[in-house]
Amino acid sequence: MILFKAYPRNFSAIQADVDEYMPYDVMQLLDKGISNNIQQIILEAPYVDKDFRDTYYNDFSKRFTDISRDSIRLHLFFSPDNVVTPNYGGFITLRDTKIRTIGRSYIAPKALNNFTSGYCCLAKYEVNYRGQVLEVEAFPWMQQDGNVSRCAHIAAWSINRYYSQRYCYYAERTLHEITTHDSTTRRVPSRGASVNQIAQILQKNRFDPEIYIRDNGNKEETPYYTKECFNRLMHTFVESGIPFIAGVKSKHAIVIIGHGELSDIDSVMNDNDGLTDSYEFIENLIIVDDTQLPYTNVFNYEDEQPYAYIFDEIDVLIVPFYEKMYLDVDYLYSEMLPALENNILKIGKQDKIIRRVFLTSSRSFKKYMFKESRDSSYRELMLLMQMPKFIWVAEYSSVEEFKKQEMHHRIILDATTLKFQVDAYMAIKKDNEVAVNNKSLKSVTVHIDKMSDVIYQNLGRIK
Amino acid sequence: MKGIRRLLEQEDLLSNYQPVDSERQQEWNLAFEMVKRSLESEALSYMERERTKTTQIAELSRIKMLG
Repeated sequence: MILFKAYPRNFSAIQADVDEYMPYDVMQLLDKGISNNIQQIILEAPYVDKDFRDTYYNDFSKRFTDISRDSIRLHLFFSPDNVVTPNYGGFITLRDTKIRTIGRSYIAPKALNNFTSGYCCLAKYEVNYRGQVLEVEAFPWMQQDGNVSRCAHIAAWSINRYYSQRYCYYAERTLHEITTHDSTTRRVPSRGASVNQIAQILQKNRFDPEIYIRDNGNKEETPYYTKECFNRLMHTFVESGIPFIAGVKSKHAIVIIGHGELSDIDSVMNDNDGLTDSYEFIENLIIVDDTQLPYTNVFNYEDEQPYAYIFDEIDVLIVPFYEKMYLDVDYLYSEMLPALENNILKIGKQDKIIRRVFLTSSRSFKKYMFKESRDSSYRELMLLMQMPKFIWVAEYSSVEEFKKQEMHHRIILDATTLKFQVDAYMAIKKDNEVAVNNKSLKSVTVHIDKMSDVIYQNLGRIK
Repeated sequence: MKGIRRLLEQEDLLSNYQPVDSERQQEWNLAFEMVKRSLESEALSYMERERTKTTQIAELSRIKMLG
Protein backbone atom coordinates (compact mmCIF):
# COMPACT_ATOMS: atom_id res chain seq x y z
CA MET A 1 0.00 0.00 0.00
CA ILE A 2 1.07 3.58 -0.55
CA LEU A 3 0.46 6.26 2.03
CA PHE A 4 -0.63 9.75 0.90
CA LYS A 5 -0.69 12.08 3.90
CA ALA A 6 -1.44 15.81 3.73
CA TYR A 7 0.36 18.43 5.81
CA PRO A 8 0.09 22.19 5.96
CA ARG A 9 3.40 23.91 5.10
CA ASN A 10 5.07 22.70 8.29
CA PHE A 11 8.37 20.90 7.78
CA SER A 12 8.81 20.18 11.51
CA ALA A 13 5.62 18.12 11.42
CA ILE A 14 6.85 16.25 8.34
CA GLN A 15 10.26 15.69 9.92
CA ALA A 16 8.63 14.20 13.02
CA ASP A 17 7.05 11.58 10.76
CA VAL A 18 9.86 10.84 8.32
CA ASP A 19 12.73 10.94 10.82
CA GLU A 20 16.09 10.08 9.19
CA TYR A 21 14.81 10.91 5.72
CA MET A 22 14.84 14.57 6.72
CA PRO A 23 17.85 15.50 8.88
CA TYR A 24 17.70 18.83 10.67
CA ASP A 25 19.75 20.74 8.06
CA VAL A 26 17.52 19.44 5.26
CA MET A 27 14.43 20.47 7.23
CA GLN A 28 15.90 23.96 7.68
CA LEU A 29 16.81 24.23 4.00
CA LEU A 30 13.27 23.33 2.93
CA ASP A 31 11.62 25.47 5.58
CA LYS A 32 13.60 28.49 4.50
CA GLY A 33 13.48 27.86 0.75
CA ILE A 34 10.07 26.47 -0.10
CA SER A 35 7.70 29.32 -0.88
CA ASN A 36 5.32 30.49 1.80
CA ASN A 37 2.69 30.32 -0.94
CA ILE A 38 2.85 26.54 -0.77
CA GLN A 39 -0.08 25.76 1.50
CA GLN A 40 -0.24 22.01 1.32
CA ILE A 41 2.40 19.29 1.12
CA ILE A 42 1.33 15.73 0.43
CA LEU A 43 3.70 12.98 1.47
CA GLU A 44 3.83 9.84 -0.69
CA ALA A 45 5.53 6.81 0.84
CA PRO A 46 7.07 4.49 -0.14
CA TYR A 47 8.13 5.97 -3.45
CA VAL A 48 10.47 4.25 -5.91
CA ASP A 49 12.83 6.90 -7.22
CA LYS A 50 14.57 5.61 -10.36
CA ASP A 51 17.80 7.46 -9.67
CA PHE A 52 18.16 6.42 -6.04
CA ARG A 53 17.08 2.83 -6.70
CA ASP A 54 19.86 2.47 -9.27
CA THR A 55 22.46 3.99 -6.95
CA TYR A 56 21.14 1.81 -4.11
CA TYR A 57 21.63 -1.48 -5.97
CA ASN A 58 25.04 -0.45 -7.27
CA ASP A 59 26.42 0.95 -4.03
CA PHE A 60 24.27 1.56 -0.93
CA SER A 61 23.03 -2.04 -0.77
CA LYS A 62 26.63 -3.16 -0.30
CA ARG A 63 27.03 -1.22 2.95
CA PHE A 64 26.74 -2.79 6.42
CA THR A 65 24.58 0.10 7.65
CA ASP A 66 20.82 -0.36 7.17
CA ILE A 67 19.83 1.80 4.22
CA SER A 68 16.34 1.62 2.78
CA ARG A 69 15.91 1.26 -0.95
CA ASP A 70 12.63 3.19 -0.74
CA SER A 71 12.27 6.94 -1.03
CA ILE A 72 9.62 9.40 0.10
CA ARG A 73 8.08 11.97 -2.19
CA LEU A 74 6.69 15.35 -1.11
CA HIS A 75 4.20 16.96 -3.52
CA LEU A 76 3.88 20.75 -3.25
CA PHE A 77 0.52 22.45 -3.78
CA PHE A 78 -0.22 26.18 -3.76
CA SER A 79 -3.69 25.73 -2.29
CA PRO A 80 -5.05 22.79 -0.30
CA ASP A 81 -7.19 19.99 -1.68
CA ASN A 82 -6.89 21.10 -5.29
CA VAL A 83 -5.01 18.47 -7.31
CA VAL A 84 -4.68 20.18 -10.70
CA THR A 85 -1.61 21.21 -12.70
CA PRO A 86 -1.89 25.01 -12.24
CA ASN A 87 -1.93 24.44 -8.48
CA TYR A 88 1.04 22.08 -8.52
CA GLY A 89 4.50 23.31 -7.51
CA GLY A 90 6.39 20.09 -8.26
CA PHE A 91 7.91 17.47 -5.99
CA ILE A 92 10.90 16.67 -3.81
CA THR A 93 12.11 13.15 -3.08
CA LEU A 94 13.82 12.18 0.15
CA ARG A 95 16.14 9.15 0.21
CA ASP A 96 17.82 7.26 3.01
CA THR A 97 21.36 8.50 2.47
CA LYS A 98 21.68 9.70 6.09
CA ILE A 99 23.06 13.08 5.02
CA ARG A 100 22.02 15.36 2.11
CA THR A 101 18.89 13.32 1.69
CA ILE A 102 17.13 15.33 -1.00
CA GLY A 103 17.01 13.22 -4.15
CA ARG A 104 15.61 13.85 -7.61
CA SER A 105 13.39 16.92 -7.42
CA TYR A 106 11.45 18.87 -10.03
CA ILE A 107 10.39 22.14 -8.39
CA ALA A 108 8.65 25.00 -10.21
CA PRO A 109 10.51 28.31 -9.70
CA LYS A 110 7.45 29.97 -8.19
CA ALA A 111 7.37 27.27 -5.47
CA LEU A 112 10.55 28.76 -4.01
CA ASN A 113 11.03 31.86 -1.89
CA ASN A 114 14.30 32.97 -3.47
CA PHE A 115 13.06 33.15 -7.07
CA THR A 116 11.79 36.52 -8.24
CA SER A 117 11.68 36.55 -12.04
CA GLY A 118 13.93 36.00 -15.01
CA TYR A 119 14.58 34.09 -18.18
CA CYS A 120 15.58 30.45 -17.97
CA CYS A 121 15.59 26.98 -19.48
CA LEU A 122 12.96 24.67 -18.02
CA ALA A 123 11.58 21.34 -19.18
CA LYS A 124 8.07 20.02 -18.71
CA TYR A 125 7.74 16.85 -16.60
CA GLU A 126 4.70 14.68 -16.09
CA VAL A 127 4.10 13.47 -12.57
CA ASN A 128 1.80 10.59 -11.70
CA TYR A 129 -0.06 11.52 -8.52
CA ARG A 130 -2.46 8.74 -7.46
CA GLY A 131 -3.10 7.94 -11.11
CA GLN A 132 -3.64 11.55 -12.06
CA VAL A 133 -1.13 13.17 -14.42
CA LEU A 134 0.13 16.55 -13.22
CA GLU A 135 2.72 18.67 -15.02
CA VAL A 136 5.54 20.78 -13.69
CA GLU A 137 8.02 22.98 -15.55
CA ALA A 138 11.33 22.73 -13.78
CA PHE A 139 15.07 22.19 -14.04
CA PRO A 140 16.14 18.84 -12.50
CA TRP A 141 17.89 19.19 -9.16
CA MET A 142 19.08 17.10 -6.23
CA GLN A 143 21.65 17.21 -3.43
CA GLN A 144 24.90 15.29 -3.73
CA ASP A 145 24.98 12.25 -1.45
CA GLY A 146 28.70 12.81 -0.82
CA ASN A 147 29.61 9.13 -1.26
CA VAL A 148 28.76 8.14 -4.80
CA SER A 149 28.03 11.55 -6.26
CA ARG A 150 29.57 14.98 -5.83
CA CYS A 151 28.58 18.35 -7.24
CA ALA A 152 30.21 17.61 -10.61
CA HIS A 153 28.06 14.50 -11.06
CA ILE A 154 24.88 16.27 -9.99
CA ALA A 155 25.61 19.06 -12.47
CA ALA A 156 26.17 16.56 -15.32
CA TRP A 157 23.09 14.57 -14.28
CA SER A 158 20.83 17.63 -14.26
CA ILE A 159 22.10 18.73 -17.69
CA ASN A 160 21.47 15.24 -19.07
CA ARG A 161 18.03 14.98 -17.48
CA TYR A 162 17.02 18.38 -18.84
CA TYR A 163 18.09 17.53 -22.41
CA SER A 164 16.72 13.97 -22.38
CA GLN A 165 13.36 15.36 -21.33
CA ARG A 166 13.31 18.05 -24.02
CA TYR A 167 14.95 16.22 -26.93
CA CYS A 168 14.54 12.51 -27.70
CA TYR A 169 18.02 12.58 -29.31
CA TYR A 170 19.50 12.31 -25.78
CA ALA A 171 18.97 9.15 -23.72
CA GLU A 172 18.00 9.47 -20.08
CA ARG A 173 20.74 8.39 -17.67
CA THR A 174 20.39 7.64 -13.97
CA LEU A 175 22.71 9.30 -11.50
CA HIS A 176 24.59 6.03 -11.09
CA GLU A 177 25.24 5.85 -14.83
CA ILE A 178 26.59 9.39 -14.74
CA THR A 179 28.97 8.58 -11.87
CA THR A 180 30.55 5.60 -13.63
CA HIS A 181 32.92 7.69 -15.73
CA ASP A 182 36.46 6.69 -16.63
CA SER A 183 38.82 6.99 -13.69
CA THR A 184 42.31 5.67 -13.00
CA THR A 185 41.54 5.54 -9.27
CA ARG A 186 38.50 4.23 -7.39
CA ARG A 187 35.30 6.14 -7.95
CA VAL A 188 33.72 5.54 -4.52
CA PRO A 189 34.00 7.31 -2.13
CA SER A 190 33.83 10.00 -4.74
CA ARG A 191 36.18 12.97 -4.63
CA GLY A 192 34.51 14.69 -7.55
CA ALA A 193 35.54 14.78 -11.18
CA SER A 194 38.14 16.62 -13.18
CA VAL A 195 37.01 19.07 -15.82
CA ASN A 196 38.14 16.49 -18.36
CA GLN A 197 36.05 13.73 -16.78
CA ILE A 198 32.96 15.95 -16.71
CA ALA A 199 33.42 16.65 -20.41
CA GLN A 200 33.80 12.91 -21.01
CA ILE A 201 30.53 12.22 -19.20
CA LEU A 202 28.80 14.66 -21.53
CA GLN A 203 30.54 13.28 -24.60
CA LYS A 204 29.41 9.74 -23.79
CA ASN A 205 25.86 11.04 -23.71
CA ARG A 206 25.86 12.42 -27.27
CA PHE A 207 26.96 15.97 -26.45
CA ASP A 208 29.94 17.62 -28.11
CA PRO A 209 31.27 19.58 -25.12
CA GLU A 210 33.77 22.43 -25.24
CA ILE A 211 35.81 23.68 -22.29
CA TYR A 212 36.55 27.34 -21.58
CA ILE A 213 38.99 28.24 -18.81
CA ARG A 214 39.44 31.85 -17.76
CA ASP A 215 43.15 31.79 -16.94
CA ASN A 216 46.03 29.92 -18.53
CA GLY A 217 47.32 28.25 -15.38
CA ASN A 218 50.15 30.73 -14.96
CA LYS A 219 49.29 33.57 -12.59
CA GLU A 220 52.05 35.73 -14.03
CA GLU A 221 50.74 35.53 -17.57
CA THR A 222 47.75 37.42 -18.93
CA PRO A 223 44.54 35.33 -18.59
CA TYR A 224 42.98 34.04 -21.81
CA TYR A 225 39.83 35.97 -21.23
CA THR A 226 39.43 39.41 -19.74
CA LYS A 227 36.69 39.70 -17.14
CA GLU A 228 34.43 41.23 -19.80
CA CYS A 229 35.11 38.56 -22.43
CA PHE A 230 34.45 35.70 -20.01
CA ASN A 231 31.21 37.31 -18.79
CA ARG A 232 30.21 37.78 -22.41
CA LEU A 233 30.92 34.13 -23.11
CA MET A 234 28.68 32.98 -20.25
CA HIS A 235 25.91 35.29 -21.35
CA THR A 236 26.19 34.13 -24.97
CA PHE A 237 25.50 30.52 -23.94
CA VAL A 238 22.68 31.61 -21.64
CA GLU A 239 21.09 33.63 -24.47
CA SER A 240 21.50 30.56 -26.68
CA GLY A 241 19.33 28.55 -24.31
CA ILE A 242 22.18 26.14 -23.55
CA PRO A 243 22.38 25.24 -19.85
CA PHE A 244 26.05 24.61 -19.04
CA ILE A 245 28.31 23.53 -16.18
CA ALA A 246 30.42 26.22 -14.52
CA GLY A 247 33.33 25.73 -12.13
CA VAL A 248 33.39 28.16 -9.21
CA LYS A 249 36.85 28.98 -7.82
CA SER A 250 38.08 25.84 -9.63
CA LYS A 251 36.44 23.71 -6.93
CA HIS A 252 32.68 23.57 -7.09
CA ALA A 253 30.41 22.74 -10.04
CA ILE A 254 27.09 24.46 -10.69
CA VAL A 255 24.77 24.69 -13.70
CA ILE A 256 23.91 28.05 -15.24
CA ILE A 257 20.40 27.98 -16.72
CA GLY A 258 19.29 31.57 -17.31
CA HIS A 259 19.52 35.22 -16.35
CA GLY A 260 17.53 37.67 -14.23
CA GLU A 261 15.76 40.82 -15.33
CA LEU A 262 17.79 43.40 -17.27
CA SER A 263 19.18 46.39 -15.40
CA ASP A 264 18.34 49.97 -16.37
CA ILE A 265 19.42 50.36 -20.01
CA ASP A 266 19.90 54.14 -19.96
CA SER A 267 22.20 54.12 -16.97
CA VAL A 268 24.46 51.51 -18.62
CA MET A 269 24.41 53.22 -22.03
CA ASN A 270 25.20 56.69 -20.63
CA ASP A 271 28.81 55.59 -20.19
CA ASN A 272 29.08 53.52 -23.39
CA ASP A 273 29.71 54.45 -27.01
CA GLY A 274 30.07 52.24 -30.07
CA LEU A 275 29.09 48.61 -29.54
CA THR A 276 27.77 47.43 -26.19
CA ASP A 277 27.17 43.74 -25.69
CA SER A 278 23.87 42.89 -24.05
CA TYR A 279 25.62 41.00 -21.23
CA GLU A 280 26.28 44.42 -19.68
CA PHE A 281 22.61 44.64 -18.71
CA ILE A 282 22.72 41.35 -16.84
CA GLU A 283 23.11 41.64 -13.08
CA ASN A 284 22.57 38.02 -12.19
CA LEU A 285 22.62 34.58 -13.74
CA ILE A 286 20.19 31.92 -12.54
CA ILE A 287 21.89 28.74 -11.37
CA VAL A 288 21.16 25.26 -10.12
CA ASP A 289 23.53 24.35 -7.29
CA ASP A 290 23.36 21.10 -5.31
CA THR A 291 24.26 22.90 -2.05
CA GLN A 292 21.20 25.17 -2.21
CA LEU A 293 17.65 24.84 -3.48
CA PRO A 294 17.50 25.51 -7.26
CA TYR A 295 17.16 28.85 -9.09
CA THR A 296 19.57 30.84 -6.93
CA ASN A 297 21.81 33.52 -8.41
CA VAL A 298 25.35 34.40 -9.33
CA PHE A 299 25.74 38.18 -9.22
CA ASN A 300 28.01 40.48 -11.14
CA TYR A 301 28.70 42.36 -7.89
CA GLU A 302 29.23 41.42 -4.24
CA ASP A 303 25.83 40.61 -2.79
CA GLU A 304 24.86 40.42 0.84
CA GLN A 305 23.06 37.12 0.34
CA PRO A 306 24.96 34.33 2.06
CA TYR A 307 26.55 31.73 -0.22
CA ALA A 308 25.91 33.91 -3.29
CA TYR A 309 28.67 33.62 -5.86
CA ILE A 310 29.86 36.43 -8.10
CA PHE A 311 30.70 36.30 -11.82
CA ASP A 312 34.43 36.73 -11.10
CA GLU A 313 34.51 33.48 -9.14
CA ILE A 314 33.47 31.44 -12.18
CA ASP A 315 36.59 30.30 -13.98
CA VAL A 316 35.64 27.16 -15.91
CA LEU A 317 32.79 26.53 -18.37
CA ILE A 318 31.89 23.12 -19.77
CA VAL A 319 29.34 23.70 -22.51
CA PRO A 320 27.28 20.76 -23.84
CA PHE A 321 27.10 21.67 -27.52
CA TYR A 322 25.17 19.62 -30.03
CA GLU A 323 27.50 17.96 -32.54
CA LYS A 324 26.78 20.34 -35.42
CA MET A 325 27.57 23.56 -33.54
CA TYR A 326 31.00 23.87 -35.12
CA LEU A 327 31.68 27.59 -35.53
CA ASP A 328 33.81 28.53 -32.53
CA VAL A 329 32.53 31.34 -30.35
CA ASP A 330 36.03 32.78 -29.82
CA TYR A 331 36.62 32.98 -33.58
CA LEU A 332 33.19 34.52 -33.98
CA TYR A 333 33.87 37.32 -31.48
CA SER A 334 37.51 37.97 -32.30
CA GLU A 335 37.52 37.68 -36.10
CA MET A 336 34.24 37.13 -37.86
CA LEU A 337 31.92 39.66 -36.27
CA PRO A 338 34.46 42.53 -36.24
CA ALA A 339 35.16 41.94 -39.95
CA LEU A 340 31.45 42.07 -40.81
CA GLU A 341 30.72 44.99 -38.47
CA ASN A 342 33.61 47.11 -39.74
CA ASN A 343 33.17 46.46 -43.46
CA ILE A 344 29.44 45.94 -43.87
CA LEU A 345 27.48 47.36 -40.96
CA LYS A 346 30.04 50.16 -40.57
CA ILE A 347 29.29 50.71 -36.89
CA GLY A 348 31.27 53.72 -35.72
CA LYS A 349 32.55 54.72 -32.30
CA GLN A 350 30.00 57.52 -32.20
CA ASP A 351 27.07 55.09 -32.55
CA LYS A 352 25.34 53.67 -29.50
CA ILE A 353 24.49 50.15 -30.58
CA ILE A 354 23.55 47.16 -28.45
CA ARG A 355 24.64 43.74 -29.73
CA ARG A 356 23.09 40.37 -28.81
CA VAL A 357 24.83 37.22 -30.03
CA PHE A 358 23.44 33.72 -29.65
CA LEU A 359 23.27 30.28 -31.17
CA THR A 360 19.96 28.72 -32.08
CA SER A 361 18.47 26.04 -34.28
CA SER A 362 17.15 27.23 -37.63
CA ARG A 363 13.94 25.36 -36.77
CA SER A 364 13.36 27.45 -33.64
CA PHE A 365 14.40 30.61 -35.47
CA LYS A 366 11.88 30.01 -38.27
CA LYS A 367 9.13 29.16 -35.81
CA TYR A 368 9.81 32.42 -33.98
CA MET A 369 9.95 34.41 -37.21
CA PHE A 370 6.67 32.91 -38.38
CA LYS A 371 4.97 33.84 -35.13
CA GLU A 372 6.60 37.11 -34.12
CA SER A 373 8.16 38.95 -37.09
CA ARG A 374 6.36 42.19 -37.97
CA ASP A 375 7.94 42.58 -41.41
CA SER A 376 6.15 40.20 -43.77
CA SER A 377 8.75 40.60 -46.54
CA TYR A 378 11.68 39.82 -44.23
CA ARG A 379 9.75 37.00 -42.56
CA GLU A 380 8.95 35.37 -45.90
CA LEU A 381 12.57 35.65 -47.01
CA MET A 382 13.79 33.97 -43.81
CA LEU A 383 11.20 31.22 -44.03
CA LEU A 384 12.16 30.44 -47.65
CA MET A 385 15.88 30.30 -46.94
CA GLN A 386 17.47 26.89 -46.74
CA MET A 387 19.38 26.95 -43.45
CA PRO A 388 21.73 24.55 -41.62
CA LYS A 389 20.54 22.87 -38.41
CA PHE A 390 22.22 25.55 -36.27
CA ILE A 391 22.88 29.22 -36.86
CA TRP A 392 24.77 31.93 -35.02
CA VAL A 393 22.80 35.16 -34.90
CA ALA A 394 24.03 38.66 -34.04
CA GLU A 395 21.40 41.36 -33.58
CA TYR A 396 22.06 45.10 -33.40
CA SER A 397 19.67 47.59 -31.80
CA SER A 398 19.68 51.26 -30.95
CA VAL A 399 18.91 52.05 -27.30
CA GLU A 400 15.30 52.90 -28.07
CA GLU A 401 14.87 49.80 -30.21
CA PHE A 402 16.34 47.58 -27.50
CA LYS A 403 13.85 48.92 -24.97
CA LYS A 404 11.09 47.91 -27.39
CA GLN A 405 12.75 44.51 -28.02
CA GLU A 406 13.55 45.43 -31.62
CA MET A 407 16.68 45.43 -33.82
CA HIS A 408 17.65 46.94 -37.19
CA HIS A 409 20.69 44.84 -38.24
CA ARG A 410 20.85 41.05 -38.03
CA ILE A 411 23.69 38.78 -39.14
CA ILE A 412 22.90 35.09 -39.58
CA LEU A 413 25.90 32.77 -39.81
CA ASP A 414 26.16 29.09 -40.64
CA ALA A 415 27.14 27.37 -37.36
CA THR A 416 28.07 24.22 -39.30
CA THR A 417 30.57 26.11 -41.45
CA LEU A 418 34.02 24.77 -42.28
CA LYS A 419 36.83 26.15 -40.20
CA PHE A 420 38.08 29.49 -41.56
CA GLN A 421 35.54 29.48 -44.36
CA VAL A 422 35.29 33.17 -45.22
CA ASP A 423 31.73 33.28 -46.54
CA ALA A 424 29.93 31.67 -43.58
CA TYR A 425 27.25 34.35 -43.57
CA MET A 426 23.78 33.28 -44.69
CA ALA A 427 21.86 36.52 -44.52
CA ILE A 428 22.77 40.01 -43.41
CA LYS A 429 19.97 42.41 -42.70
CA LYS A 430 21.16 46.00 -42.72
CA ASP A 431 18.23 48.30 -42.08
CA ASN A 432 15.84 47.62 -44.99
CA GLU A 433 18.30 45.66 -47.14
CA VAL A 434 19.11 41.96 -46.87
CA ALA A 435 22.13 40.32 -48.49
CA VAL A 436 21.35 36.67 -49.05
CA ASN A 437 24.07 34.07 -49.50
CA ASN A 438 22.21 30.82 -49.87
CA LYS A 439 22.99 27.74 -51.87
CA SER A 440 19.45 27.48 -53.23
CA LEU A 441 18.76 31.15 -53.84
CA LYS A 442 20.85 33.52 -55.89
CA SER A 443 23.36 35.53 -53.84
CA VAL A 444 21.84 38.97 -54.09
CA THR A 445 20.83 41.96 -52.00
CA VAL A 446 17.17 42.85 -51.89
CA HIS A 447 14.94 45.43 -50.27
CA ILE A 448 12.53 44.54 -47.48
CA ASP A 449 9.64 46.62 -46.15
CA LYS A 450 10.78 47.73 -42.72
CA MET A 451 13.95 49.05 -41.11
CA SER A 452 13.49 47.15 -37.83
CA ASP A 453 11.94 43.94 -36.57
CA VAL A 454 11.56 42.06 -33.27
CA ILE A 455 14.56 40.53 -31.53
CA TYR A 456 14.68 36.78 -31.13
CA GLN A 457 14.15 35.12 -27.73
CA ASN A 458 15.54 31.68 -26.93
CA LEU A 459 14.50 31.72 -23.28
CA GLY A 460 11.10 31.75 -21.66
CA ARG A 461 10.36 34.50 -19.14
CA ILE A 462 9.33 33.24 -15.70
CA LYS A 463 7.49 35.67 -13.45
CA MET B 1 20.50 17.90 -57.15
CA LYS B 2 20.83 19.59 -60.54
CA GLY B 3 17.09 19.10 -61.07
CA ILE B 4 16.22 20.75 -57.76
CA ARG B 5 18.58 23.64 -58.46
CA ARG B 6 17.10 24.16 -61.93
CA LEU B 7 13.60 24.06 -60.48
CA LEU B 8 14.48 26.67 -57.84
CA GLU B 9 16.01 28.93 -60.50
CA GLN B 10 12.99 28.54 -62.77
CA GLU B 11 10.59 29.44 -59.99
CA ASP B 12 12.71 32.52 -59.13
CA LEU B 13 11.78 32.66 -55.46
CA LEU B 14 13.15 36.18 -55.14
CA SER B 15 10.93 37.58 -57.85
CA ASN B 16 8.74 39.32 -55.26
CA TYR B 17 11.74 41.21 -53.93
CA GLN B 18 13.20 44.33 -55.41
CA PRO B 19 16.97 44.00 -55.79
CA VAL B 20 19.11 46.94 -54.75
CA ASP B 21 20.44 48.98 -57.69
CA SER B 22 23.69 47.94 -59.33
CA GLU B 23 25.70 50.68 -57.61
CA ARG B 24 24.48 49.58 -54.21
CA GLN B 25 25.09 45.90 -55.07
CA GLN B 26 28.61 46.88 -56.05
CA GLU B 27 29.10 48.44 -52.59
CA TRP B 28 27.89 45.23 -50.94
CA ASN B 29 30.18 43.10 -53.12
CA LEU B 30 33.14 45.31 -52.29
CA ALA B 31 32.34 45.11 -48.57
CA PHE B 32 32.21 41.31 -48.76
CA GLU B 33 35.55 41.30 -50.54
CA MET B 34 37.00 43.36 -47.67
CA VAL B 35 35.54 40.88 -45.14
CA LYS B 36 37.12 38.00 -47.04
CA ARG B 37 40.54 39.67 -47.11
CA SER B 38 40.35 40.57 -43.45
CA LEU B 39 39.48 37.00 -42.41
CA GLU B 40 42.12 35.46 -44.66
CA SER B 41 44.85 37.73 -43.34
CA GLU B 42 44.00 36.92 -39.70
CA ALA B 43 43.55 33.15 -40.13
CA LEU B 44 47.18 32.16 -39.58
CA SER B 45 47.72 34.20 -36.43
CA TYR B 46 44.37 32.99 -35.04
CA MET B 47 45.37 29.36 -35.68
CA GLU B 48 48.61 29.92 -33.80
CA ARG B 49 46.83 31.47 -30.79
CA GLU B 50 44.23 28.73 -30.84
CA ARG B 51 46.87 25.99 -30.86
CA THR B 52 48.61 27.41 -27.78
CA LYS B 53 45.34 27.86 -25.91
CA THR B 54 44.06 24.38 -26.77
CA THR B 55 47.24 22.76 -25.46
CA GLN B 56 47.05 24.65 -22.19
CA ILE B 57 43.32 24.00 -21.73
CA ALA B 58 43.89 20.28 -22.31
CA GLU B 59 46.48 20.33 -19.53
CA LEU B 60 44.38 22.42 -17.12
CA SER B 61 41.20 20.44 -17.66
CA ARG B 62 43.08 17.30 -16.63
CA ILE B 63 44.21 18.74 -13.28
CA LYS B 64 41.29 20.97 -12.26
CA MET B 65 38.95 18.99 -9.98
CA LEU B 66 35.35 20.00 -9.31
CA GLY B 67 33.50 18.29 -6.50
